[in-house]
Amino acid sequence: MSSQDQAAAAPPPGGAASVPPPPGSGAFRAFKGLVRGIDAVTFWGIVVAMAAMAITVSLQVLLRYGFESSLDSADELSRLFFVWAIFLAIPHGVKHGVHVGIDLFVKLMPDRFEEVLFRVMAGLGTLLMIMVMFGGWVATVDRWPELMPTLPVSSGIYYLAVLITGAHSLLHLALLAWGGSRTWEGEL
Amino acid sequence: MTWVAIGIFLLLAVFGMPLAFALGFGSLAALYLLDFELVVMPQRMMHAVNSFPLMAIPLFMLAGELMVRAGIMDRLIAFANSLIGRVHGGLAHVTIVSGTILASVSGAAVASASAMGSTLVPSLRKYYPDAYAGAVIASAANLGPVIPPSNAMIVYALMAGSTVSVGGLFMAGIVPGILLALGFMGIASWISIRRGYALTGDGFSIRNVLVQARRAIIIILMPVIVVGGVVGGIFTATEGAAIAVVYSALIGFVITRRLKLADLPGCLYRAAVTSAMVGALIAFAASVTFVFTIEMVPMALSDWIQSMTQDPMVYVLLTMLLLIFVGMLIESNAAYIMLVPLFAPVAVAYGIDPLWFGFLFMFNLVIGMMTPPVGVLYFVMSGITKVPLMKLVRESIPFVVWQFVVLALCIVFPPLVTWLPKTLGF
Amino acid sequence: AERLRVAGNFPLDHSVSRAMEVFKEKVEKDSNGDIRVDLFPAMQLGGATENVDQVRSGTIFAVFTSIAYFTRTVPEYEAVSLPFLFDSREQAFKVMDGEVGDIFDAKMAELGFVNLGYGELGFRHVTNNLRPITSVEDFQGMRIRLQPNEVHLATFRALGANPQSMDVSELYSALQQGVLDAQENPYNIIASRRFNEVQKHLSDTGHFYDFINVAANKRKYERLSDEHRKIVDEAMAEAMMWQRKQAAAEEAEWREKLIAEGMEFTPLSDEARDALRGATASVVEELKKRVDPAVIDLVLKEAQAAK
Ligand code: NA
Ligand code: NA
Repeated sequence: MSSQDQAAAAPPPGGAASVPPPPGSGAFRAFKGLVRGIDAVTFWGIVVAMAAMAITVSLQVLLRYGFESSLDSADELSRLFFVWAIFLAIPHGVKHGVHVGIDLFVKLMPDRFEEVLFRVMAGLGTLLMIMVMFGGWVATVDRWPELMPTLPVSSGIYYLAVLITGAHSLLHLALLAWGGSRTWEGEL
Repeated sequence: MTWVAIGIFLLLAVFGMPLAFALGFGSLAALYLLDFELVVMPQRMMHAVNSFPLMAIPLFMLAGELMVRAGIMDRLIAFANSLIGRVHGGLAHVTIVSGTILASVSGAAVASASAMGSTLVPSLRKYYPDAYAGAVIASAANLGPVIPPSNAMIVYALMAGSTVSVGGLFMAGIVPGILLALGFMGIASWISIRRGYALTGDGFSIRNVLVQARRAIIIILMPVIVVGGVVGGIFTATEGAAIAVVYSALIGFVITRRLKLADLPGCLYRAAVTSAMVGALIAFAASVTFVFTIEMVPMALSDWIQSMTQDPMVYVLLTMLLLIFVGMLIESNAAYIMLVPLFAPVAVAYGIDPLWFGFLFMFNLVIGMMTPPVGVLYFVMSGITKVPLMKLVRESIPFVVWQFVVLALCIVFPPLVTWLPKTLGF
Repeated sequence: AERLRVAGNFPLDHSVSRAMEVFKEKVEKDSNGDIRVDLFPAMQLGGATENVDQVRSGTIFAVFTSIAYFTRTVPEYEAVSLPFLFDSREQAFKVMDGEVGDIFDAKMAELGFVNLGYGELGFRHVTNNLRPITSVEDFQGMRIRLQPNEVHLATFRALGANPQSMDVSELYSALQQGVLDAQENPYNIIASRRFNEVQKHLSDTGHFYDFINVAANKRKYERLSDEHRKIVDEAMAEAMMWQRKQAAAEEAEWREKLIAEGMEFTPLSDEARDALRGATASVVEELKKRVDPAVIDLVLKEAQAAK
């Protein structure tokens, strides 16, 4: 998870055989299956949010010139789709290793120690995401009574995206802490 | 608590935690020690991402994905090569020229980097090492906020109170922007010759140029439509990003016919996941910014600098030094919001030309997008090219040095900055 | 010692940001330093929406911003945002400082906010690049950027304009390039956001009057000792009075500044204003579908009485 090239190097090219493969236990496989299932669902969430964002923004241009009008909620709606697209995609970024880090020092370590660090950092990341999830819940509940400026919809749904990013990321990071850097080997 | 946040961030970052999460952890620890409720962090995260101009990032990423899927980049590159392929570093020049044109449409470096990164990298990497390709694109993209329009300048003018005009700042960026672009091209030629990079194109022939132009015209029209639409007042810069998406999709479905409906979910997904890297950084950096602000760090800094000197020039130089440091550690949008309201009024009090000071301030933080460890452009390029951060940084050194040289020139010869806006009456 | 953190979204030189300095000074002096006030103006702690979230969750003590940021939780606030409701600020404050304000305070309290006071954001005026505004017809087809607020949108639709939803961050460029023709704001906001650089015509439509309110977190407020609460209340009352006076005195200065910097100012005649008022009369009935009609009628009655 740590950085781009660490993820790219996940299937170790011969030399890093000292890094153990992910556990084969039933519990681990079940956990991984659960995460994979949530990924499949949120994949379509991301696709829909991105498409809706692009459509809302371009529709606004069409309406302005084609129909001398405007969607009153275009600004809020497009930002809402944007927020959802980004926060739904952050956990997927964990899986694909897009969240960049500094690997200068880590690369100097022996492979075994590097793998231990990888799991410790994933574990700490899990803690962070528990806090994000918890805070996201509080923020969503606090905001729930407020409506969006021009739509009869609770503006708490902006924070709902943060709650989901926390919950989904924590599962991904816990999986990495458990399974190590080769968790998704051969599947990305 | 500021030091706790910075210390924990650095420690975790060094041990390989992704920077976004390390920032989050640092802020979390500080917030806990400051006795704040944890809800601050999600509040900051959501509001930092919930920004309309930022939307240009996934949109340009998406346009890039679609263009690649539609198989049209090869046509553009073939055309560019037919024109200046026989020049040393030809494709690098194509990138820098594209970056300059793109800068006159896009207000943000990150958006430019994502657009050029996803469209030009596949071609660049045929001729140059990935790290060099990434460095050239990052540098070309950094023209985005210097050449107008510029989101950074708008934010600066907004935060500076009523002493600086957006229009004036826009004009201030033109001369330094051209200097930057010319210098980048010089560096690209020099590196290409020294490293013996292959010439990237066939020999020049009018016939070939015309043939390639005919095949590429539909793509060359895209920046023309986007630039024309924005300059002509048909849509805004962010809307232009969405128009670029629609246009790329149309080309793919109708002209090249290589884009299939089944490709769309993948394109949308990849664009979102790549953008999520920037999104996560901005979100967690905002949480750290909260700690700094609540601890009144920016205010203390400003007071401290004022206590150091009565000389305006010394104030400018001290500010510049401080901003280089700030630019290394803090995402630039956060830095404007924290620091401009403190530093701009002081500059006015010292009798410094607000326009000149404003441009220097902004330009310094723009360069900061290419200084490690927190260099947003490196994050974007590393995400696109899969090149490790430090390699990108190393390849970028000559380009970053040139940016600092131009900054120094602007400090020593203020007319480079102020002449054009003053002539135009700002 | 207590530490009260107060945030806002107005620039440093805005009268309300300076009024908060008055508040800070008085609180710290009257409490002999027992209470410390930390001010975070100019969006230092995020935009107004975020500041409101921060107050709601108790992260900070209070926020000073436009009442517009509360209309989606206390829709009754829209009743004082009706078009051409007030002719003068004295009239506006007479209404707000009376029974109407008590209703709002009660609604805010249900949501966990304490209203510490009201100040002036000001009359909103239209600027545009098409023509001087002298009649209702001049609004025909005008592409104008409005705040995302249903009363605002309905008002300009009734005038025949073409309201556009657009993020404020893109507004300057949109006006410059001609994507939009017009925007509306108080004079000082027009000047501080420098829309005068990209807009030709300035008018004094004064179609809405905007209030600023200072909203505190109720839990935090009630946790203060009686003595401290009294100090805070008195200091805020003084600061808000100072702000109202200051805003009133500065309004003409801001307008003159805009004119001096090249805007063409065309005052609206009384007949034209009456025509605009007539053309937008339907907005009241529309609002009654969403907001308790009793509150709207009370506001209209009080406004009439305060003339
Ligand atoms: Na630009
Ligand atoms: Na940096």
